[in-house]
Amino acid sequence: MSPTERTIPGPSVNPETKPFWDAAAAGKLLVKRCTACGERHHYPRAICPFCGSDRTE
Amino acid sequence: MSIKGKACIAGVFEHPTRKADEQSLAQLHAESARGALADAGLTMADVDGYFCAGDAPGLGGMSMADYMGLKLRHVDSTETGGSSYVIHVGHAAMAIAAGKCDVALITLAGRPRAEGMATGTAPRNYGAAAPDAAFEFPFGPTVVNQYAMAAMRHMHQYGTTSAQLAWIKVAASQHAQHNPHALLRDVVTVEEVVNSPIIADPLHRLDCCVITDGGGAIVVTRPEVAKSLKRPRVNVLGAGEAIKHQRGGKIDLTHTGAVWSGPTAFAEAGLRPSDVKYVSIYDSFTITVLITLEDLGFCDKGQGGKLVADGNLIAGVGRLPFNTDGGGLCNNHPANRGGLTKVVEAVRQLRGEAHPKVQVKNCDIALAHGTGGSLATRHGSATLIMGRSDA
Repeated sequence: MSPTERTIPGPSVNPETKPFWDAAAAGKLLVKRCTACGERHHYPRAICPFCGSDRTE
Repeated sequence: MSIKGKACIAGVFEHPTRKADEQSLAQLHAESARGALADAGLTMADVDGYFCAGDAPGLGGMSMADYMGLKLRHVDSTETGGSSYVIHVGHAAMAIAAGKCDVALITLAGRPRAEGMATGTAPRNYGAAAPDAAFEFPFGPTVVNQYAMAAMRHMHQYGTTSAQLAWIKVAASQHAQHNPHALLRDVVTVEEVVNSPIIADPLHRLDCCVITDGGGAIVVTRPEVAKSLKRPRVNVLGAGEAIKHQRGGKIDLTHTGAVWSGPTAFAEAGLRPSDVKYVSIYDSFTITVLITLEDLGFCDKGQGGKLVADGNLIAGVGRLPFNTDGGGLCNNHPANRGGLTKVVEAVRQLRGEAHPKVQVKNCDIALAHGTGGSLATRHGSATLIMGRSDA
């Protein structure tokens, strides 16, 4: 398969990840950060994978 | 509570088919179950605990209990990909130790060849609800390119070479020549491996395991039951399990969950890597073996290339004989899940029933390790340490 033949399907979007994809469509890359523990994570989650807090933005 | 000395592996079976055009999936499970029970000297009526994973048809344990007519008081369908069945042995030992069952049956089966499945080279979609799917699937992650990513990183960080990886396939092929059931019985050289076509850089075709139909089964029993049977007993000495994941994006590609499952199993067994006479290591790809051996403590991190090179994994030649049935690389990888057959060959070694050309002398302690999922991004790791009844 040559690169020109390859089609990349769009991602499946859900309410949890919609802000990320909306920003991506506007040319912005968002990385989520937890305001409870300060850690950044990706892929974006509502619940922080480092401390379990729901204070992610 | 420890499981050490609380359970025995009383029967094992590896289905001889490698292409099952004429058998149904449930039938392959049941044929494997019959084989392992016959090996132990037991029947379906003796089984009171049943273990299966995602390869089981329909509603898993419920469907297979129905098909086989099992009367169960314990069921476990833990799913960690190809490592599931190694975990199942530990879970069976736990259930037996807790008095939840006396005779546990574990089965595996699949027909990826008969079904023409594009196993390793088509993107695997676990469904839109898989939380990471949207961020990876559009880019076409396949099994082989995810393992290749871990191999590439290991080469970059530690200087591991394709020739060193090739020695793993060479050792497997040396063993497979003696196995009449093995899919690939031809002995290959390092040159043949590194000159085979690249599938996902740096992995060549001969760095990849086979695709086969078939299955297998294991019977785990209470020690008193095993002692009443005629077959040599194999004791379960220690088990460890772990999930390795992406850690919120802060992932290290150079280690597996074996860094956790290994020490857990060794501590429970009261043993060290130097005590182990034979290892069955999940070999979906050559890199899987190399990183796993490092993580289990058979050498220092980054030194796996030196450990596996120059025939060191070949029975009768090297100091760490591995996968003496030919492993997934040459013999069999039923249902694209290699964990169960790893336990089967370890049991053959401990019973002294491996092929005479590959039987390890005085094999009293053996280890089986499973890796299920993707080496780079997420997988289940399972380590099982077994001993001969006099060990």
